[in-house]
Amino acid sequence: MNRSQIINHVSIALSTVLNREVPQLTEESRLFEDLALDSTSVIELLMGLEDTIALEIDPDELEPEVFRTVGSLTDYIEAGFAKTAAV
Amino acid sequence: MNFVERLKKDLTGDPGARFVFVNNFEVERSWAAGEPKLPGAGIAFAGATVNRMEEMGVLLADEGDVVVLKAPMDRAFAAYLTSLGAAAGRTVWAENSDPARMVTEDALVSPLLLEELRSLDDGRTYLMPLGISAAEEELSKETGLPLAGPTAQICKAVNGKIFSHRLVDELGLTAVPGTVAETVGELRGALTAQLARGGRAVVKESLGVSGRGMVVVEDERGANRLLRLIERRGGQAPANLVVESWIERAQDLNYQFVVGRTGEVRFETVKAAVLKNNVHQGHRFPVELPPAAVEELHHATQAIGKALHAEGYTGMVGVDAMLGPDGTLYPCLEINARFNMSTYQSRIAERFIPEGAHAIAATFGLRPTRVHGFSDVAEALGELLFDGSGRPGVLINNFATLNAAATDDGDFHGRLYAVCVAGSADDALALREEAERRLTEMARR
Repeated sequence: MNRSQIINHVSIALSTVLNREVPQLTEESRLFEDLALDSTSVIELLMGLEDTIALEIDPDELEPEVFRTVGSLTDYIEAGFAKTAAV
Repeated sequence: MNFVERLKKDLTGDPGARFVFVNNFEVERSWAAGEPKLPGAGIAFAGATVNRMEEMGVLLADEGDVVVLKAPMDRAFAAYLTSLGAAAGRTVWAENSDPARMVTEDALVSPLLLEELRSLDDGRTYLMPLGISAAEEELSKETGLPLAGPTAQICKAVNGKIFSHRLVDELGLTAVPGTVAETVGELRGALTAQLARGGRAVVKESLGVSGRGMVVVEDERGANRLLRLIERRGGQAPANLVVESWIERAQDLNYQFVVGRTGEVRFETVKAAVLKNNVHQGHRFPVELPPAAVEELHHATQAIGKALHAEGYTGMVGVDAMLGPDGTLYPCLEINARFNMSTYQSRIAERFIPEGAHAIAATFGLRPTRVHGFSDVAEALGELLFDGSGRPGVLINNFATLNAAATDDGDFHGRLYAVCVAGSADDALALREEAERRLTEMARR
């Protein structure tokens, strides 16, 4: 899965969690400040992403920085795929 | 006696005692440290805006009282409150402040402030925090000022949602159907049983911060998604979760009472959440409830208060309750044995909301593009700004939260807290709407 496909998945998961259309996302879009994600919806976002991208996320290992922007979340997911591929 | 005098009498025996208010909003974050969390709920937030809610204490303090702040107040805001007679105490502030720290933590690293607080010790001066955690106990030790409340350990214990859940059963109060999962392994059975009753379920961390640390589970698929994330920790891992039915279309209520040191329990107020198109608008008061519901709330107040006193707790208590669409009152969803938003509105209500008037305590979430002073807010509100003359108006009761999250690059989230006072509940809501429109416009400029 390439980067723009991941961003597309993030966008879909965010729309579901926030229960509304999200605007065109950029790498710089901030999840909390710009998209009004809150800590309750983080749990739902993680659940949604696991369903759509078939990647196992360990929420207990996540650093808050991962959720800063769409770009940082995409970095995390990409790194996860790289790790899975290497196994 | 006014609200603060009554509180002093209940907690210290002396209505003329001096309180040093330490408004450590989200003390729950301290209580939750090291406790199990829902997946992802441990993502930490600096809470810069919440940390500046400590300013709300300025409108609670009585003559002679002291309010500890993170920073000096905006001069125009302080002058406005003084002109209204809304701020009777005096403020002191930490010389070393970090936006990510709660006010108590700032105080503990500010030697000049600590010295000033030590100098207040006259045998009848008490630290009065929003809630007591290890940091407030340390502040008491550092300053020599006794706490007007019990130990942090007792406070943490009675603030757990598992404690509330079990207490409701023990007291025979009407309970929301649900159960407790102490370990990860118990969650699957609890969720399955809950969903089998029909409707949605909510899973709440025992020591989650109010309104956070919870997830609503729609159906079996949602349950499996949550279980998949959490079961990786292993069945024996601690979970400390409460699983309950999600009551649809319920009216949210919040009532507060005081548990005095002699065990006397005194009801104070009840407020109701206001929704418009499913969007939370704030809390209104006074509230007209069916007489049976009022009676049940008073009964619950006495029962819960006595149980808390038996646990060693004394102090303010706020309880979240719900009135279901079928008229069923659920008198205790959650006990917050600490100050609540209502506590901070108590003196405002006594000073400015006469018999027959109505109020909505509102939060305005704004997206300012730059830092605004209180004079900008006053100008934007114009004739809507509360002036104490008796005509309807918007009384700002927390200004520091507007700029707390200001950044150098781009817009940010800011909040203003206000009490909108008018002649009727509808007028108060209309006033709130117009104020929000004007403030939103101001934030863009």
